[in-house]
Amino acid sequence: MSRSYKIRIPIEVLLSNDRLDKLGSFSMPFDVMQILPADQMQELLKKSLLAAGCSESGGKIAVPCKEGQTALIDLENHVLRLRIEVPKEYETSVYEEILSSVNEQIADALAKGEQIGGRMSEYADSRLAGQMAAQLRDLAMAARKVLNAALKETYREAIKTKAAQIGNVTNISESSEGGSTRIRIEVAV
Amino acid sequence: MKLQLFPEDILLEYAEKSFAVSVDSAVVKHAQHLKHLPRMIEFSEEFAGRWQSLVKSAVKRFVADTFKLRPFLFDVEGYTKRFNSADEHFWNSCEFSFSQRGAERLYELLMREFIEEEPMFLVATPDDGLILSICTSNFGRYSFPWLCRNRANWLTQALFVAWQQVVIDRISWQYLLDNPAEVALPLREYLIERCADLIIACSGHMRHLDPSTPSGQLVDVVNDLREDGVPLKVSFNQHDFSGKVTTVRRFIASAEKAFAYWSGEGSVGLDDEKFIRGAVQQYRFAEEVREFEQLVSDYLEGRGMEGAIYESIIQNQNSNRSST
Repeated sequence: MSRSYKIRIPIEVLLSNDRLDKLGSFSMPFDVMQILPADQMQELLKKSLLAAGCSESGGKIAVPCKEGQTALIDLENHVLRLRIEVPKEYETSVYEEILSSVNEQIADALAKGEQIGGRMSEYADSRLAGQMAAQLRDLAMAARKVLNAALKETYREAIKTKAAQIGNVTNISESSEGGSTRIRIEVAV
Repeated sequence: MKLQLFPEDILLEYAEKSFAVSVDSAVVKHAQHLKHLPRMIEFSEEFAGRWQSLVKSAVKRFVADTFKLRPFLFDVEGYTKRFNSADEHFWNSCEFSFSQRGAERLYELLMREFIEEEPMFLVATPDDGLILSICTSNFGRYSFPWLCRNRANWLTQALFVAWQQVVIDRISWQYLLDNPAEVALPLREYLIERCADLIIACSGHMRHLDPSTPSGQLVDVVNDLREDGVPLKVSFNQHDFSGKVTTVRRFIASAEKAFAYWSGEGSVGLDDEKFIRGAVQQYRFAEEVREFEQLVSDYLEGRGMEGAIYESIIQNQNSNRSST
């Protein structure tokens, strides 16, 4: 009976940088209703996001995340960019009779800066893809929640500003029902 | 040494301790000699008097502990007034009927180690049932159809409403909402409060549901928002989301129908319908229902959005695969 050994393989030996980049990142677009001119809407949204605890980072707005995760809101292009660090190593089991040849393959691939390919790489790819997809989904949901709340606040402010352009705002009331919010603004013209 | 045992005295001692700490922890002084007692006893007249006074004071204490000084609605010559347990009218409005059957059942509990059969809990009056429920800290033995059929007074019913744990797919006191004509005025307002609390508990449960794991989320929610009230314990025993929502919606429909009846053709006096409408507003029943429905739609939207995002991530991972 063969013994099997647990080994840790550097991830770059199994998957290319392009592939790792694809597995660990995801971008999703979002819409902004143009109640006011685009630059004003952008400014209002930025203000709402900063008020919600987000911060500015390289011209984008960073949503607070766990360590190793980033969620950046690109206000100019209306895109939410998500990134999760991929694990640096992949853990697997190999039988003792092939252990030395696997170790040799790994050392060789590391020296040449290539991937070893074959079933081990395919298996690592599919396992990692599943893990990363679930983590990216959770991050996307959390970031969308922050973004949606900020958009709601932005629309509220934008509608008030728009109404003030028509006349004197005399009364503002709000109600929520069945997933939609109604804002009633009375204007004395 | 010769020891004389008086079963009636032992039973009264057992009853007193059970009221205080429940039967499971009640240990009588001569516990080691219980095996020598007869399996059944015939109670003396003197015992009947002592039993009545013991259980009456125990129930009064229990009512005060349960409802504190919460006022209830009463009809006084056609007009609605509020009274609490410190008022004479409160106690005059209901008559308790404690029979010796309650004592017999408690004796069977005392001797349960030596009697092989379960006590016949249903051979009792509703008020005996209340006593046994207090002693055993178990209010689930008596159903509302049984309590109503046996003419339980409104206060006994209110105590069962307060202490029965609710399982979401069989809310025991929904029977009262389905038969609103059987509900006395003082109990109506309390049921409105309890209905609103139940919806709050359902909303609390909804808030904890994770759209990514739609099954296998069975939790108990305890709604203890009202400082002076008995917390409402609700068990959510249904796995599927839509089944759960359907059950709650059926309950809401039942409650709304009862409230409409009490504030319409089922009103008992000249002005109680105003109090009923006021209670529905005070306990924010309609608002709580709206909040629940909002959470249901948020959950469904979240589940839909989450699925769509996951799908897009997988598509993105598999697009233009150049190397592995």
